[in-house]
Amino acid sequence: MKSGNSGQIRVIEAFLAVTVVFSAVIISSRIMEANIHKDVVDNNLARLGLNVLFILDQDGSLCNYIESRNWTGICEALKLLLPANVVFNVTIYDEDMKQINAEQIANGGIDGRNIVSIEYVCTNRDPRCFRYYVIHLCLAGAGL
Amino acid sequence: MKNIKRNGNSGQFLIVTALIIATLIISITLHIQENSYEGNDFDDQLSSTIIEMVKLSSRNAVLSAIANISNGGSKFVLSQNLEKVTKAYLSLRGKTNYCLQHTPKTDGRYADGIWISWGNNGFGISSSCVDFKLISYGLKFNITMDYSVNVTTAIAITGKYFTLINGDHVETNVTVTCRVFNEEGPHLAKQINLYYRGPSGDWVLVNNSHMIDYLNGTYTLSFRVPSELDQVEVSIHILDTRDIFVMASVTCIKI
Repeated sequence: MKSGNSGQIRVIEAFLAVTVVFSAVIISSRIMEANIHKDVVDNNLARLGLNVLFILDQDGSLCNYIESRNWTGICEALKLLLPANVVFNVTIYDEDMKQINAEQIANGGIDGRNIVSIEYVCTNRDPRCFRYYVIHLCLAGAGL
Repeated sequence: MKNIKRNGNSGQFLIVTALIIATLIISITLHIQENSYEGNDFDDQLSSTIIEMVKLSSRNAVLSAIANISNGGSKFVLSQNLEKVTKAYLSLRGKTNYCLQHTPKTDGRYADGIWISWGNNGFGISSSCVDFKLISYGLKFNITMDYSVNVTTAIAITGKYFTLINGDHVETNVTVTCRVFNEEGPHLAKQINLYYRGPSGDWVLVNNSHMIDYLNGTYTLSFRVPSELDQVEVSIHILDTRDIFVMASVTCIKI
């Protein structure tokens, strides 16, 4: 009887040991998958944000919006160019890194979501005075 | 009894070993995730967008400088603009660090990145050329890239004239063809001023010229001078659509 119990206990112990190792393997693969998925989503959002700012900057309209303090214009342009399920919040700094947008440039709250933050340097082409602005764009995607 | 105790310890040892192996597997996975990040297509696309962003801002710095200098500004504007754009990228506080180095081109034509030649042979050029090196390093990717920015506006002009004598009335008809180029090809002008050298030797602004714009960077300007000129010299001053100024003069050919 003792010998039978000992055998059963050994089987259970072995089963537990195998379970522990397999659990670790499964958890590891899940961690890998989750991180890869998060990286892909983050990179997609970052790329999207940079592309949108680059498109606006290419023809000088981004800098024109900033220099004319047309925050509504920037907000509307971003709403048009970004997908509807992407929430954004923009902060613009001058050369002394002082925030210059007096009003919020956003299309909703992004608190509590997985936020991707990107920085963009926007320069003007004014022959009289060359200036740059640093744009902080925070993006969060719903359902991404 | 001894045998049973040893067997029991063996089972515990097995589970402890399994736990240690499990911990090792998870630790190694996390370590690989954190330290051995390998770039993928998304990172390549992201880094190419960043490169485009940096190229655009450095190009704007050069463009602003050559527009300023060609309109009479100080030649130090280029180095000031380049310092500014370098400072802009150093001021970024994100996950990626940027270092943008610049070297204004100096050779037989360019001096400190600027080449301005407004000749009397029918050719004029206002150009700036700067070599950049971008070094970007961050958590996900590193970029080291050399590139050049060249912003050029050039004009090539040719002129011809003939004298029309109608009784006592003598006039000189002049036709000037001007072609405008940028660093990539034909380019458009925003403003064109045409001058001719009058009998007193001063440049006289032509107010009543007739211009044909071929919309491909080629312009033909015609005007009449109510006198006979032995030699017709014309000068064209152009401001292109990027506010870069360039001028050239030429002696017209009699036909």
